[in-house]
Amino acid sequence: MSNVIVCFKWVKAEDDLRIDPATLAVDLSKAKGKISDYDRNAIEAARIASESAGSETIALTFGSNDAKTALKDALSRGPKQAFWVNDVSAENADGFVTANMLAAAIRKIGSYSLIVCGEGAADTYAHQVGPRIGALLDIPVISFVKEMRIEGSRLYAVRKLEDSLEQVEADLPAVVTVLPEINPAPIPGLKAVLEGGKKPVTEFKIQDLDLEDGDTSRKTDVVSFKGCSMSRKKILINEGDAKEKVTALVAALKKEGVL
Amino acid sequence: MWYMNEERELMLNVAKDFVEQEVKPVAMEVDRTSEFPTKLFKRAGELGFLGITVAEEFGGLGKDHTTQSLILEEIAKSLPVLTVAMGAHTLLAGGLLNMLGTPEQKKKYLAPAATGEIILACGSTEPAGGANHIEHTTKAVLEGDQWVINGGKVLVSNIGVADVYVILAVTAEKMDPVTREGMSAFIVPKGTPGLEIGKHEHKLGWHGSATGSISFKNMKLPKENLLGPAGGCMRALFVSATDEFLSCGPVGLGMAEAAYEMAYKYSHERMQRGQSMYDRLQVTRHKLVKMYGEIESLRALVYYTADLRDRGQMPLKLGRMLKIKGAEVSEYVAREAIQLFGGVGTIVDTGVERFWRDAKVLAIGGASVEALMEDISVMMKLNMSKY
Repeated sequence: MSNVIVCFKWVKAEDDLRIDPATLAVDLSKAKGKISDYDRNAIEAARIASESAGSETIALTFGSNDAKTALKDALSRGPKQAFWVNDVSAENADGFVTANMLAAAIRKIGSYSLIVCGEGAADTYAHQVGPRIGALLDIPVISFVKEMRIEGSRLYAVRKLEDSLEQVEADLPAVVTVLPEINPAPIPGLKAVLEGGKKPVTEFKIQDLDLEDGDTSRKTDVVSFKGCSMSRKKILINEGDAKEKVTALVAALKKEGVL
Repeated sequence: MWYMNEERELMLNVAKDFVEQEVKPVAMEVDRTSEFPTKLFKRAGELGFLGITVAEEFGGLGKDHTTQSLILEEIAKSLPVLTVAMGAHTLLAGGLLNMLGTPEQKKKYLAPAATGEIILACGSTEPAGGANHIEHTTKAVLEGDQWVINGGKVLVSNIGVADVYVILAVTAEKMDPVTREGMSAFIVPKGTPGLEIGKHEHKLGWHGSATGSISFKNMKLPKENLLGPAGGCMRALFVSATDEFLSCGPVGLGMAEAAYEMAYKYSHERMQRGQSMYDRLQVTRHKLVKMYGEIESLRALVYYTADLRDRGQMPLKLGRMLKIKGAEVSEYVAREAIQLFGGVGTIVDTGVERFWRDAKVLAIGGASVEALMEDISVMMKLNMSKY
């Protein structure tokens, strides 16, 4: 089996986001970066898959200059080397652009049998990138994966759907998008962190990739980017007997669209 | 922060994840049961926290005191007692092994200690004289090719859970009060006949530190268990103790930050007459401002001193000042945090008062604030150390 490529995204840590209560504007300036939560599980899933198949794990990301730290972080979690599509446009890219970049990079890397992505990114949770990569490379995609194993050139996976589990299989190469249930993402030790900083990183610029016109243009527009605030309506239902209060409560909930 | 770089940031993230995922969920339970957190200690070893300053050839990372301080600060925000166990293991016992050990001794004891495979304890204090070694009575006599040791140590951390004890004993007729010659260090594996382990003391704070007495009754050790030159361990003890005092700065800082964060959050959540305590009461705001100022002053001193140490200086005075300030600031901030919580702050389950209890012990355990001030005053008079 050839390489397992795991795609990951460097996102802003949500704990560091600050929301102006008056305008609901989101201040990202003090937010540190981190590997998107599900992508940590994806990296571990890729590491386990490649270990069981005796192949190599490769980390891949599309990011601007601040992704340098991301690469070291990802490499401390097991991959032997990383590829980095370095372009400032990553900061505002949507799933379409990101998938185009990553798919082009994967074609350039060449040898792969499995591509692992997190089910969704911690910042957008759009579920776009994995399936789009599969479509661009014309290989099977299995999403919402909570278990998987590889036997020879065949992938067996369990998908977690809303109310059921689905067992599926596909020929490799394939793309899987994984849920956090697939495995715990272990904390890398300090030694692994130091070793991660020494592993090889190959940098691609956009011009290095085989892209077509329009591949780098967003397909979605962000109309606004705001925080949300919870405010209570402070409605007190205090008149009548218990039956009347319950009736009033149900009516109020229906009015709000809750029921 | 001026002392942060990418590598330290990534290493700190490891500590943050460890605290969030593994320490926080059990921190209150450790305080309640006073059981030594063996599982967390072993995990700290696996993650590399016990060998940060140990050379790579002996299983460590070969990194600096600044990095070590960052890790200790982070862990102390959640479970200060774990840093106490780490300090006794890494800085006191491990420090002596590192400075005095032969390559064989380091390979046998320091390397597995750096990864947490074995736990170390250091027996130095005695009932008579406390930390004043001149008055110590534990004696080691060389009989043939064996050392025979009699005496005992008190207030030793990690007793019962330790695999190896590094202990001090007088090997001369009498210790020289000026040169401090005459005291030797020994390696004592657990189970050595004649080594008796006392019970774990129930203390005001540091619940779970496994602190108590050990005694030696005609305890025989092979000659090769002498650590360093016979009669000449005090210089190394001086350094390892300084590193231990230095580490109390980030521990105090972490405790103070945790108590402050809890009080800050509570002062915004607790409503009175339609307003949060923070918005309603100037006294609440001013208390928090003062706490914040003390924390940031301590932070500056912690990382300035750690940086000096990393640059090859031996900050004898500032290292001791860090234990003093670490204890004083954390005690002050935790006390004020309890005050801001009001009656709720005195309830153990609220989780803020334990920082005050731990801070109080920090002011005494290992060396009291007063003893350290006395040390510094002597150094000042003798112009012993620039820092």
